[in-house]
Amino acid sequence: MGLLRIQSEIPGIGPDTVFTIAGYPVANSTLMIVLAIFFTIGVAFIMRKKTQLIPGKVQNFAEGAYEAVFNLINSVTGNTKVTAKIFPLVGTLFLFILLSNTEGLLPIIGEVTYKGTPIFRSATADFNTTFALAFGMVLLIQIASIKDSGIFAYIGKFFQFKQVWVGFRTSIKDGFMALIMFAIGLLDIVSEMAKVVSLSLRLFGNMYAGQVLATVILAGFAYGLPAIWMSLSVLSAVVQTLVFALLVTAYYSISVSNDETEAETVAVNSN
Amino acid sequence: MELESARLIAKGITTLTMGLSAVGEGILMAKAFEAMGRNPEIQDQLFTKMIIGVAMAESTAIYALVAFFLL
Repeated sequence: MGLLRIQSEIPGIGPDTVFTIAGYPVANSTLMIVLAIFFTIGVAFIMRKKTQLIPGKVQNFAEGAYEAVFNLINSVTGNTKVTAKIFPLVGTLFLFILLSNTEGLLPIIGEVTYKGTPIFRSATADFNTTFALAFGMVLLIQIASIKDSGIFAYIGKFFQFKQVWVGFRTSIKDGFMALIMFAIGLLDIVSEMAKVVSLSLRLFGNMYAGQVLATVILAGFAYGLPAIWMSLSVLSAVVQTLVFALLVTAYYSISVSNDETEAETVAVNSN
Repeated sequence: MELESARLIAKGITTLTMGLSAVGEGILMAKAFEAMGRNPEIQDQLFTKMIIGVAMAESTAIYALVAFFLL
């Protein structure tokens, strides 16, 4: 082992169970999720109590961060009403995922062990967390789309029978075009599932590979070289939160915008 | 052929596929820099969007990395 290397074992793909509560296993990443939740709620409560009209330093920073995230989401949706609807969810997601991604860089993560298994593991380096987040978001987008345009219009997006009927009534060429759009509508169902897989795997893969490579580099040469990898990890953590939040916003604005922005432009034009 | 050697060969082939994502990202960045040269005013916005595009193009390489650790 010696002074030049730090050997530790590579974390497995699945999380280790730390203890069980009434037969229900609690994994080590769950503890970090609880910590992240306490942090997010704590920030929310502190910010609510201590706001003054002329902001101090902390409030200034929080307001700047709020405005930055708001402008980012606004640049994707292009419509302030849609942004106001989705912003509480995406902003909280942003904060939670940013915190969970950078947790993996704290030195306490691999070290504290209880009967041989490490107690703490970064929350998003666990596929269960990212799958739950991605699946929940995609489910929410479907529900928002149903609530917005009704269930028949929603099913009509995937099974486009009406367009085929209208297409064949205009001309044969339009009819065949409508048949191709029908097949594309069926493929949209697959693409919804692909959204869940791609969102969850992208976040999980980045965080997990970052952790494994940090272990490998520390076992190679422990001075100087891991610092380069750690800075790359911080950059990748921020970029992955950006990508996740922006993709959720983009999917939401695509599935809702077909009705809402049209109504808004009609209202604007008639005024 | 033994199972262990077949596993190692499969792991090696999985690592090779990540090279293609580098080609994709290179094309993306070339187009982004060209656009920045044509219109230097939107440099900052374009850079942010380019970083997001690079993260998206990187995702298939990350799938391959996860498959590598699964094998």
